[in-house]
Amino acid sequence: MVRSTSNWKPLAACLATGLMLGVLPEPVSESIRSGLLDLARPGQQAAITVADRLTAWHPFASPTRTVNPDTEELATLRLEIRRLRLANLRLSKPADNTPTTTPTHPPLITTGLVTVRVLGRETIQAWAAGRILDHGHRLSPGSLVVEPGHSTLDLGDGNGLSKGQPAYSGRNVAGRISRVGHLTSTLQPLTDTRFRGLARLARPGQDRPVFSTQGMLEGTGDGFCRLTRVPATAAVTVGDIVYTDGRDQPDHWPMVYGTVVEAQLPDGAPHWEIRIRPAIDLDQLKQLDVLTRNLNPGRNLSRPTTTPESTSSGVLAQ
Amino acid sequence: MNPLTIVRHLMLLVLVYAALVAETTIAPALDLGGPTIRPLWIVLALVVGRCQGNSVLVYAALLGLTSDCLRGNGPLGLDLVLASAAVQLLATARPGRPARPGKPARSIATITLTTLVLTTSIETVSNLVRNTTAQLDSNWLLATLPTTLAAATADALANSALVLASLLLLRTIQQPIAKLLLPTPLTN
Repeated sequence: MVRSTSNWKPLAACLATGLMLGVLPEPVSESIRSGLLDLARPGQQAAITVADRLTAWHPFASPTRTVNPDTEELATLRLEIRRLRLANLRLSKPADNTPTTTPTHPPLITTGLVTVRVLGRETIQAWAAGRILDHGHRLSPGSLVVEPGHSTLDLGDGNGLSKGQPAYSGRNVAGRISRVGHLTSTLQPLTDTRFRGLARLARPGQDRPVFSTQGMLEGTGDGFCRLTRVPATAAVTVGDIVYTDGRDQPDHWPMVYGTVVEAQLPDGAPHWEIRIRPAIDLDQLKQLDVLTRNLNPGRNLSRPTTTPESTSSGVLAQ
Repeated sequence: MNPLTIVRHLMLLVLVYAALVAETTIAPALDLGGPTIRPLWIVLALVVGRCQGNSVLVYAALLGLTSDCLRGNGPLGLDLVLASAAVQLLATARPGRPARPGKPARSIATITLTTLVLTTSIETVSNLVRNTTAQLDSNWLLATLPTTLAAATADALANSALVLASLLLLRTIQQPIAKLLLPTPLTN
């Protein structure tokens, strides 16, 4: 009797495996398929990279070589982007209005940031109730400056704070000082209905924000702000950033008020109705930086001695 | 296990992965005017030509499962079964084999023929079964049978031509290199 040389057990195992795979539920089989495709992904990316390099490598390039229209269009669009960037740069330079030389004399006004802590509600209540030990300084509860709805800060006029000074949290505007006492002061948040501030809209750019229209930021009293006086001709979109506007910013860079969350232009209205969400959570504030401005002690503030020939009246007479 | 065998299996596994990548990147990009190159079955033919024993079946199952996953329609495991069965039947029905059982055939003609047979059989049956599962109509199946068979044959011919050309090119390159590496005979 001739013994068969074929071993059918492995084949039977393969057939059984195939049958088992065939009766698998759809989600399992789909996951197996996706798993295999995921396994192929690194190789596919490598193949695409090699193909791209081979496409870009033309050692015997001839003028009659056929060019892929997509590649040609891509190159054209890249050139166009480059041209527009250059044009943008050229246009933005005059708008900067930057003088070519910097002044050599020291500035008349110096700015500084005073870091203050925000007092908690329990601390204020304890002070008002006279439960805080003053170690013999005889501080009355009236020495604490408090305003309803405003945060209380732990520095006052003895530390250079005065009414109207802006307060920041990082690069975000928190509000401005509204009342100042000897030891404490209060912060008018930017969401307060009496808060006003010059603002400028900006949309996120590639390297830096692209500033556009000016407006007036006003608090609405409900935790939000509104931006008024933005003309209907301006381009406003949700997500635009609202910055401070003015020349007196610390380090000459605007601070952030917040983000546009709603922008509507009613029919025939001359201005946009823009709702702003502040960039900071005012309830979570623990410390702030207050911008102070002082006369520069390095400048000679004394009146110069004048000779009769060089008096102003003489000049004016001439 | 012989270290050379391990190296060979590693190379074959790399070839399987390369076939998987080629199936999803290069093969769809090739426009041959109808026929489709199936690198998986080319690798299977190479495995049949280079390996022996149960490892051929394991490779057939692996390549079949890969083909199943890439097709996306029909039952999973169909190509696995078909590839395994085709390889087993090919091994038993190979002419001129009884003299040295288990010895793999390494000639160019044999590998080309193996590619032709494997691709035709697996593709035809697989497509027919998948068409049947998609639409249970015997008339429709009979009507599409010639088209399916013709398409599978065209694919098989394209695959075989590619294998033949590649192996011939490889041999053409190998011969001069081998001559260069041979030591020069000493002469008077």
